[in-house]
Amino acid sequence: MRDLRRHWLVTLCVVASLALAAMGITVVHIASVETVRNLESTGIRTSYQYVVPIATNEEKHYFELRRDWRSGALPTIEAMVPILEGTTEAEGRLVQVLGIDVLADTSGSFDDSLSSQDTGFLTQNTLIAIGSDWTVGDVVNGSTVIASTPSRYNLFIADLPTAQGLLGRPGQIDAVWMRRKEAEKFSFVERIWPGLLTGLGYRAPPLEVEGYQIQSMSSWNPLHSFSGSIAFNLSLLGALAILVSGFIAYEACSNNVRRRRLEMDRLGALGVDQWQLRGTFLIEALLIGAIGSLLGIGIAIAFLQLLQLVDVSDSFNVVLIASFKSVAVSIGTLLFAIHLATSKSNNRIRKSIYGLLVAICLGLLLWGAFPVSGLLGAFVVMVGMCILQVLIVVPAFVGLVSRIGLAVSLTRLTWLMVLRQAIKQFRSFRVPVSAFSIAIATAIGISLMVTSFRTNFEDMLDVRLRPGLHIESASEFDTSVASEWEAVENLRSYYRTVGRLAKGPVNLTATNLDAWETSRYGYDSAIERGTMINRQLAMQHNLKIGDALNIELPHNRQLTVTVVHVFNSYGSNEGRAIVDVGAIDTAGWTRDRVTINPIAGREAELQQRIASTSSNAIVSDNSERRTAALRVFDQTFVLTNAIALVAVIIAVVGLLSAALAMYGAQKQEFKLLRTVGIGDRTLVVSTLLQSGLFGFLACVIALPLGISIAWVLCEMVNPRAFQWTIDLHLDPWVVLRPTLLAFGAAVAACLIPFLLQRKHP
Amino acid sequence: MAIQLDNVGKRFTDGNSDRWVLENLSFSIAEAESVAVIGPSGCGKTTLLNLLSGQLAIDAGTVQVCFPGKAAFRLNEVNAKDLLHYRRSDIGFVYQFFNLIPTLTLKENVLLPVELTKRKHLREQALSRIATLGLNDRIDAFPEELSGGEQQRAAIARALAHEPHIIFADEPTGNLDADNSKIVADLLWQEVTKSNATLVVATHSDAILRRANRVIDL
Repeated sequence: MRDLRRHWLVTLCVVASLALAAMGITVVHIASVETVRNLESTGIRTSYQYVVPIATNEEKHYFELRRDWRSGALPTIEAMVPILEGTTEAEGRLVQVLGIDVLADTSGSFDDSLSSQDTGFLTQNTLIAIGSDWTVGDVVNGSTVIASTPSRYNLFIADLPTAQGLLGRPGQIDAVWMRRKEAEKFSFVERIWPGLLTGLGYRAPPLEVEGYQIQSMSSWNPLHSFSGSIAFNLSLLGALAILVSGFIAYEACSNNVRRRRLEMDRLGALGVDQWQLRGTFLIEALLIGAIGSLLGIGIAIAFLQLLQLVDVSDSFNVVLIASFKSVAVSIGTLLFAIHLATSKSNNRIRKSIYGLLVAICLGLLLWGAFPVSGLLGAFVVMVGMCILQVLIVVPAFVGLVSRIGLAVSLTRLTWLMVLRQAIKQFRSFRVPVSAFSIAIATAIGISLMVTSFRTNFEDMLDVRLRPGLHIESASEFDTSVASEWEAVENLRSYYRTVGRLAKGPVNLTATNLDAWETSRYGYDSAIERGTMINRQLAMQHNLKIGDALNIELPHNRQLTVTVVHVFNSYGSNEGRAIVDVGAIDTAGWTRDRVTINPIAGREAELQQRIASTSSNAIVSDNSERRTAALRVFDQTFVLTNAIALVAVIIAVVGLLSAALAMYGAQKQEFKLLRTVGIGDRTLVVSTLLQSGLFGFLACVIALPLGISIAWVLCEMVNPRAFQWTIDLHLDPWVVLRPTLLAFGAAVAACLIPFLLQRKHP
Repeated sequence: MAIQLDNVGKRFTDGNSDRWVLENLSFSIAEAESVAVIGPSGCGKTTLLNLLSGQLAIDAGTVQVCFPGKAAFRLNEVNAKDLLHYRRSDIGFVYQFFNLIPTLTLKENVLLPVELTKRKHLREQALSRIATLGLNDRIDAFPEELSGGEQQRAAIARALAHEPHIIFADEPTGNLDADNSKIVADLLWQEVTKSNATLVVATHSDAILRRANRVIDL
């Protein structure tokens, strides 16, 4: 205890780095859960794991399947329910409808915002409205709203006969959803680490029943894996911050043990055994870990409340799990660091462990490089690169710099001293420098990825959102009249429906696919009998240009089209296909969007005219939509950037802690230099130069790793997680910004001990 | 007269109380004189050397310093710039624990005071002193590569390199074995005598006491 008090600044640094790591864990956990909640409330989230598509739409197949299940053919299945899906038009809006047999499974959940009790009250001609402004008692298309919950997504949940009536499909079903018996076990894992199952590429084990094609719910409802991927991404970026803090904790513990080696030896000579000695450190670790993590949790909760990111009072269980994780990781990291620092070093064992670690890292890098390793493989590559940075790159670079430093000959001995001192410091700070370089590299990697992504996104918006007006809820908007208006240069209608491919539903859009329209998606000529699909659909269904697509359409219609182009779309990983309106019968399709390109300078006039013609239509300017889209994009990455910043702060605190640990030796050295006749000004300049050189070297070593992380994020993580491809743009300013920030912080961290000794020489 | 002390005192704050380590100390040291300061551990020998070398502030009394060709001045009255000049040009210091700068080689350590005082003409002399002290073959070694005796000889070479008026030595043989103590003591006296400098040495060593012109017992 006395030692902690005596070296209170070093103690404070360890507490601060642990608090920051705990804060990172808590924020990432709570934000991940919230992200999953937000994303999944924009789509149907069920407690079902399997889907059996009923190609013929006949209810009898459900009864046959149920009979087989009851006779023991599907022992792992807890319950099954027939469903019907589609879209209907209600008061000028396109609304998704989910019809369920409410009596088939009274324990299943059909949306996160609803309990099974809510759906249990559904009867004929009643529905639950999600995400719309309908209130209880409203009558929509002949059905009465008995419950409503807010959401950004419009969905009606109705009893099967009611849904059949709303969709004009009497006696039909689309699929049977099935719920696994032991699914609860996995939901516990997801509660501890949101997105882990997605990251691990977990799918419910395949089921086979003769005559039926049973598939995983994630291919039916890709939004679930999308939100899981985001949560997994956040967690793993947060894990880099934990990795950094782990190195810092190890360094602090090593310094502590080194500093007290004499004390330990003396106590050992007095008969105190190893375990008693370790006990002292363990008690200190528990104390520091508890204080650090509680402090971090408190800051995280205050931060989330202050920014109104999450209503913490509403998520008590989530906060509790996040806190438990933070305390466990903080204390665990410290205990592990103490174990490493107090273990007797055996060079042979150490070398063997080192070789084994390098081999494991290289093996994991190789495994992760194969797409089959999935999202987890991509992150293994990233973490493997970081560990190799510590094991190989930093020691090799330090060795190289030392050799160069010794070979350099300067005429001024003072400058030579500065140079060698910087190199000496660089060499003795190997662990904090490694942690620091990982933190800067993470910041560089994330910044480069986000900027590259933003550039791609802006390019996409530039071609997709050409100057013009966008009209939503446009079913009542009379396009034949509008096309006669003088101010209109070009008018286009967009029809939407949900079709079905063999593996699951697909969002379909139909419009006039002339060269003007296809150029918005990067294609150069008109398309008549083909389709353009987004990359997500291509990856989910393993489609490529030239493949034929057999799509089941509403009203038992079929559409067969050839894929002629694959385009990028960002924002969700739902599959999407666009066909020419001339190739379809629009019955069962809803015209929900119209775009108008006005003659230059007449936008306002046209906007007024549309508003006066159709009161339901929501008109927006494409430039406003572009700004709004970019705003949402930037908000999405606030947390990602914050994680990178936390990692850099932890690393700077680590450097400061290491610098303070060397404070005693440095103080002696400064005293000596003063005696020799070196003045304060020279000492300030040389310390500044020394810190600058140190910061520069630390940043130089972070650059290659940073660019590699950016490459892995763009080329491996994003395609595997979201099926997005991002072209890496190496913008020098984006690399320089976090580097300069880190450089400044490193210089400051190394200067503080000097300033302290000036105050107390 | 090189140094004149009048009622010099130094106190250290220990918790809430002040403790006077040196009180009413008065003596003078003549030019080129070698003075050994002795006394039991904790009596203030190192403190006295630190006061005289301008590393610690004087809390009571005065210390007047006077060198040939230079006006006399009081250490407790000079400004920071002059004090720096005094430390840089007029004195040399030999420590018990050698205190060579670890990032500089032996040669660089010795030449550092020459560079700081801009007395380039002393460069060759400083290098020849390294040879005289028997360190020629260790000239490019870093302090960590030198033995204790070698480090102390290098420290003597550094203390004398810029031809200071006074050499302060704090237990220069305190960390050496008997053979090395004798060698270092011989060399220290030999070089100090050669350069005609004043020597103030805190010591417990008989080898040094025997060589000193005068002994001051604290």
